[in-house]
Amino acid sequence: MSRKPVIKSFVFKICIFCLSAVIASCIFQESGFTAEKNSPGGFRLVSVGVGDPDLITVRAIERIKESDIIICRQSVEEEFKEHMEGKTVWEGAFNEWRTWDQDCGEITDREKREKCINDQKVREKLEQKIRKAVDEGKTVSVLGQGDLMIYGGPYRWYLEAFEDLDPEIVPGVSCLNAANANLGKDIMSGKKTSSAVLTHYRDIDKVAEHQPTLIVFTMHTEFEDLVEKLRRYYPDDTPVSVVFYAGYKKKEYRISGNLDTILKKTEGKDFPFEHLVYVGDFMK
Amino acid sequence: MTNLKNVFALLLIVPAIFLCLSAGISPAGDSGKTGLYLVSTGSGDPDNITFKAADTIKESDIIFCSQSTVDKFPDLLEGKEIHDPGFGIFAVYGKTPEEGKKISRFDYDEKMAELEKISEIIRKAVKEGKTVSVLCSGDPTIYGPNMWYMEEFADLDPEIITGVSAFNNSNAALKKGVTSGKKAHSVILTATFGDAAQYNGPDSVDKLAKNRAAMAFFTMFMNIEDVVEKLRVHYPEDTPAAIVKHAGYSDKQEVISGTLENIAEKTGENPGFEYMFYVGDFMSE
Repeated sequence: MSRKPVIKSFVFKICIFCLSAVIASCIFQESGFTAEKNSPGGFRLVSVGVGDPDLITVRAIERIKESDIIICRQSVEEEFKEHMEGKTVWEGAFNEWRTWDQDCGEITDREKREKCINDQKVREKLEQKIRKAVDEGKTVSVLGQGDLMIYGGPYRWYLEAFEDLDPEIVPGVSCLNAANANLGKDIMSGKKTSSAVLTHYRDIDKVAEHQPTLIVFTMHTEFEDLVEKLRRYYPDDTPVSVVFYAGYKKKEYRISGNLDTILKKTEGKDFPFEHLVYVGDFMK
Repeated sequence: MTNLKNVFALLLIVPAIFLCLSAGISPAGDSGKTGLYLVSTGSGDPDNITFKAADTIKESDIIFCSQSTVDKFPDLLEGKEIHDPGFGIFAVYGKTPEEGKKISRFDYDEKMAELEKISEIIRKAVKEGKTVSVLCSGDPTIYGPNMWYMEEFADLDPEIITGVSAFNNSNAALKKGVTSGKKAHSVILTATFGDAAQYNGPDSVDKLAKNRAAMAFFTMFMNIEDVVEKLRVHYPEDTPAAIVKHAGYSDKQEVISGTLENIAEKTGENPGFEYMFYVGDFMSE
């Protein structure tokens, strides 16, 4: 029996195999499949802007489209539904983050301690899910509104827990930018100051001494309490403006006055979560 | 009877036609886009622009923007009537000729002439029902050079379309909660305009530093060493400090981290015009 035909046939089979492998790898590379399999996937925090959906950036939409798994609040899912078709959507720990940096054992109140422990379990489970997905080469994006690094409570947990994954943070419009636009003034044009302090109720005692321009992120503070505190540091004729629903074109509006008139001017108004308070003579 | 019917019909139809026509005539239909806009194109890469800004630009007839903006958004701006926005008018706007001529950086007469030209173009356009957009990068209300448009054309009720600022980009680059400091949960946005050493107003660097909140400097002409010296009046030497260069440009963005003690040295001679400087314990590990 001549060896030649056997060798020829063997070589022929090898060639076909190699050719198929090359073609297959080309196809897979085109579809990005190879890339995903060889390296771990990504983890990102993506800002979707604030207010109306059209305040999202082009980059953020691209990131959403590129993602396999999205973690976001239901309201955000609703807003960007068309870009999330076919994607897996998970619940984030948006109600279970507050005690992320606390030792539950140190909480004396039983109910609060139990919530702390439960929240921790929720976060741990979510962390496991995220890490598993990323190890499998998937791209996981957490979506949030505003600048996630400014008073972004839920996102601080993600930053800490997933620091080793070095997540990309995709910037977006903050309620600060949107409210600035509503005011229509140069916020740095105070008569005695060209600085502005982003602060909240509990910090005012620390920052108000030299009467800088203040931009108060209100986060469930009672407006009367805020005004009372401000009056300890600023003269009564200091201009104050409250911008409601910054970024929502149809709902956005503001009420302006002075420290001594603003309570009357806002009497009876509904104060939603989404309101920002400006204090300073740049508004004069 | 038929005459009455005809009159009645006319009374209904004519206003209806008028309404339809006016809806058609208005360039924006029901979105109300006529008049003057200050539009942020974002900061950093072109993909940091919002959809709202892009839409407003598309619907604009006349654009005021720099050549670098034209280069950055060639497709968006193709075919548009483009004019120079008059960088530097901010320095002399609202000043008397005497005060204005003391400004060395810009020529008062030249800038005022530019302002007049710009005003002519805008007012004529708006009168003709056209849409005019002045493009800015970043948040136009934070140390922006175009806020004078809001004053000069206040009667036209201009609208600001906001965008991502160098501040937002830098926060994202640092990957830290900028309001999550240990000493304070606030952040001070400030700038020194090259005057840190001499300036002694209520928001001088050393006074602001007293509360040890986070600080984010917009660094137009900033002298890092002068600023660090003033910060060290109240911040301990080992307070974290960082520079973010080219925030928002994916291929160029760079974070240089250190402490107050070594940040000037780490940054080197010429960090360039476009960078943010942060100090605060929110960056502590």
